[in-house]
Amino acid sequence: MYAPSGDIRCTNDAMQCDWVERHLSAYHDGALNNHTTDQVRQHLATCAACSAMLAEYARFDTLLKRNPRVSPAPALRARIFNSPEFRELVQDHQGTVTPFPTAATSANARHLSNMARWVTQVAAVLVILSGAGLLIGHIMARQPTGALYASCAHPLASGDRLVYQVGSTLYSGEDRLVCDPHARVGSVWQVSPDGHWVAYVNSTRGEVRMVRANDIGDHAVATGPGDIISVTWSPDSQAILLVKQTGLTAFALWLVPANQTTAMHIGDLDQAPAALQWAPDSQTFAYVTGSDNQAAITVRTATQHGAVSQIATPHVPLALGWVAGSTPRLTWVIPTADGKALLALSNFDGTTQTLTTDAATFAAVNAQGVWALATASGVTTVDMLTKKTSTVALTGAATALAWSPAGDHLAAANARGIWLVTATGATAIATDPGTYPLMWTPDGATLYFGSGSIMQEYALASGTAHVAALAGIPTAAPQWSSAQ
Amino acid sequence: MAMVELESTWSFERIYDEFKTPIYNYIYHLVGNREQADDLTQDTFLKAFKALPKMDASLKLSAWLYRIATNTAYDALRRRKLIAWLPWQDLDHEPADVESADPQETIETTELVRQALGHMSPTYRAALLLYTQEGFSYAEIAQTLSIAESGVKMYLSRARHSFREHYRALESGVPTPVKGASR
Repeated sequence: MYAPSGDIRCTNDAMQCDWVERHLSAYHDGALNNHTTDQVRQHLATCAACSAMLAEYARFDTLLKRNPRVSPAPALRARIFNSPEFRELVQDHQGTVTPFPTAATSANARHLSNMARWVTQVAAVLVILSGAGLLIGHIMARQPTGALYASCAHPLASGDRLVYQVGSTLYSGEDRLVCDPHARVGSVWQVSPDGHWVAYVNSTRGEVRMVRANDIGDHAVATGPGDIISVTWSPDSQAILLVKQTGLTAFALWLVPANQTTAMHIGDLDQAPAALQWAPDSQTFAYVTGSDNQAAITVRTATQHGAVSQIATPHVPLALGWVAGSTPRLTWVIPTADGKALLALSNFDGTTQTLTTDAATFAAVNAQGVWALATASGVTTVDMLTKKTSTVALTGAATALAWSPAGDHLAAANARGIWLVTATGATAIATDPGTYPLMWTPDGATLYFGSGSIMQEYALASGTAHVAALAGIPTAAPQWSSAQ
Repeated sequence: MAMVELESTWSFERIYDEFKTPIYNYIYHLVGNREQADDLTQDTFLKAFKALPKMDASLKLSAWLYRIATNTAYDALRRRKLIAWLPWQDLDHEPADVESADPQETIETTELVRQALGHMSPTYRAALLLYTQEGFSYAEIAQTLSIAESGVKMYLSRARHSFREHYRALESGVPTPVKGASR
């Protein structure tokens, strides 16, 4: 039986308990030196609180160790070994690739005999596939190279359209946007801010492609080696920033003009950048690296050998953004060690102004520099320029917040529903759990949201919602396009 | 957990069959969502298969696979955090096939463990899972998470503190706010 140690006060000096508490985990693991172990043991002999905490560590370790292990479904095996990526691995190396690492010269003979065994196993897989009636020749054929794939049978209409992903393809409205049957759209894609282009990664070939929102001009862009992990359009829709992973701890930044087929390498990192945000001027961008207790915000000019500056932060920012103006200013929110949220705004002279609020679990900023924060008491808005704050109560903490493009409307969602939030209160527009990200149309007149597995459109003017007409259930965040 | 060295008789299929459950279990408990765990496990193994022929013969396969899995899950968690979508999977969607070492373990306790893990920073969660569920040593955790061994002590200390805080709050029915931390 375990006593609730929270009700027991430390009977020794508080500083001693603090010191012991910091070493208790390593003591439990037997990872302290003899001297420190003795000190901790002596303290535990007379401190019920610390002893109870140690007992809880042991209890929770046991709970975790005995936690049921989760196995993958058998179908995952077939999915991996039938995937285009695995087939390409086989095809590209034409039987010479082996799963084992480079061997020394003296081991080559054993290496070659095992390679033969591996090739036989792969051949057996292919035979099984052909026996199942699959067109192996068609599947294993080289992808067509060149600029254009065949267009879809029905060209997309012009105008504003919703772009979303179902499975491994993109749709615009209810029509397919990516028509190449061999292309497999992964989770990395983005519509340009002006709505005219869609950049996506064809995971079949590991390449980035650009397609106009009316499905013409689908072209591939040549970049260096590595796996593409993100694409981010500049606000002026003239270029995308690509992040590629070139090694386990190696990442590369590439700039890709929208209507060109080559990219410019602009930098290398040893960590994946997070929260990548372009400044409104499309000349600069910022991102976060690091981990708890040692993070940094980096600001870079989007050119080769461009200027780089860094802001060290004690914790990983919850969110960051830019405040529009003749000189854009960076703003960010970080959680503090004492459970608050620290909001910061960079000044033109290089200094930073800060403001502290209650702890926030989610944050979003508009171009006017007003932060919306999901706090325990509801939604708090903080205007970084005027320092005005307001808090609106919500039923349950918000798990998503979205400003309209003009920054004049705020939507919030959680498991209890969807709300429109103003300075004076929150109006519910749905009472089902919010399951999809909140998304405003470019004109700010309509809010898209998910409740259950249904995507709905809410029109601000009429205050009514109806089910959105889509070709399937989106498997990733939808975005808004504007076909020319 | 014993370090597994790559033998020359291993095939891709054998590597998958040998490591599918520990890697999948680890990823699942990192991201808390079965559908995403499927995708990330696939990504992990395909990345490994692609890179394996170029690796050195002294490769410690298991730690290397966990390292790929960790980075793959971190990337997904970062993307998820940025778009705040895919709610942490609830009890209604528990995986169908679950191996339990102890048939007397209650569903309630399992759910508390899962929720407490979900409230933690991914980095601390990873360290705690590697130590308790996968049986990694401090050195193996350091190698998997690309941190110094001295950092592992600190990570585990904070991980246990965080887990204890959240588990006790959940047990008593008072949820703690999720700290906005990512890798």
